[in-house]
Amino acid sequence: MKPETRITGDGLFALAHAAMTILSGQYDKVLVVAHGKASEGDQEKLSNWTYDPVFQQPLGFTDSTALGLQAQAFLRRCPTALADEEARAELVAALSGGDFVSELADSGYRNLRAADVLESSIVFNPLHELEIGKPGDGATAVLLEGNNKEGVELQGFGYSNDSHYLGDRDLSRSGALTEAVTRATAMAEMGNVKEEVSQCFWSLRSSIQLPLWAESAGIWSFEEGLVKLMATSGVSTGNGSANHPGYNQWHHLPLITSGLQRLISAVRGIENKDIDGSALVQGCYGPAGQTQIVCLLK
Amino acid sequence: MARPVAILGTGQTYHTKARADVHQGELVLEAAEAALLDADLSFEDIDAIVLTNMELFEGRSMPGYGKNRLLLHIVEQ
Repeated sequence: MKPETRITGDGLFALAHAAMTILSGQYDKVLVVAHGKASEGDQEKLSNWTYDPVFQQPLGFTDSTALGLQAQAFLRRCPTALADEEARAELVAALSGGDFVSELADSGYRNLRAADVLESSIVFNPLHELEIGKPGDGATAVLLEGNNKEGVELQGFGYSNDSHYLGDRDLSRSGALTEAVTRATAMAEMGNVKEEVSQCFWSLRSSIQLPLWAESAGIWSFEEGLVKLMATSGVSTGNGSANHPGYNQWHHLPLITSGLQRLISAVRGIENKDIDGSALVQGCYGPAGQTQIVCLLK
Repeated sequence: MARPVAILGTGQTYHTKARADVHQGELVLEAAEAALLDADLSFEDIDAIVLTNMELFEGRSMPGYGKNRLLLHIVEQ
């Protein structure tokens, strides 16, 4: 038997815990594993159980409810081109493409067309069904080692927590992500995240979360436009970028494994020298991304 | 970092809507074995394991904006 610790949340939280055991000198080599098997239950109904049982559960709150309210709040504050559902459909189509995902992801939602997104039903205004990630089955694993200067370096990490009640926080922003980035960059002794990070790997549950996370992390601002937003995220609207990070939330990527899957994509990008500079990997957990974690790699 | 931490290996399964051919343990094993193979190591070489999973009720124990916290569930030594 090996010493075993269990962490609740996205796989990146387990990675942070593993890194801390190495940094403290407790262990040298630690295996981090995340898995999800959403097919064994009704995820939408199960997500209702994560809410307060007195007020919110009886109202039928689910993950989709939280994502819809978040999208509404974001579009009220920032009425950008993304308020246009056709622009969001193009964004989802771009996110669902790329060759990288083909070996790992279910083919059902691969290479979506914008028309597919627009034809799908509206789950919670303004989000169409295909603007929301699909739950699925799968597992990811990462092996960490201390005092190793040859592998991809974990420069820093940070995490933070927003209020659980949706009404207690500004859903149009992610204060937890901003705080997580601040902590990660301090640990990495990184001066300017926008200048030193060349590509981001986001955990997305809805189309709206791409600009929301990028803005909250200080990587992108609305004045820079959607093309710049997609470039920082390794996505192109053409025939797919060579460095497409595999946004397979649209391909049944389990919620719990998302952050680690992003990290694996970043590691591959660094090893293949597709990324010049640092990579920012983000994971989240809880209603509308309540708890956020960021890892910086080089 | 004073004591640099590096990523030695990575592994993942095929992600799909339903993997009826495996149970949860087998799913984890697939990814873990892939990561060990990628690092050219065996299970005996590693010191510890950290798993992540979902607890349904953590929402009510997650108060406090801006708190730096991990929800640690079980530690077996």
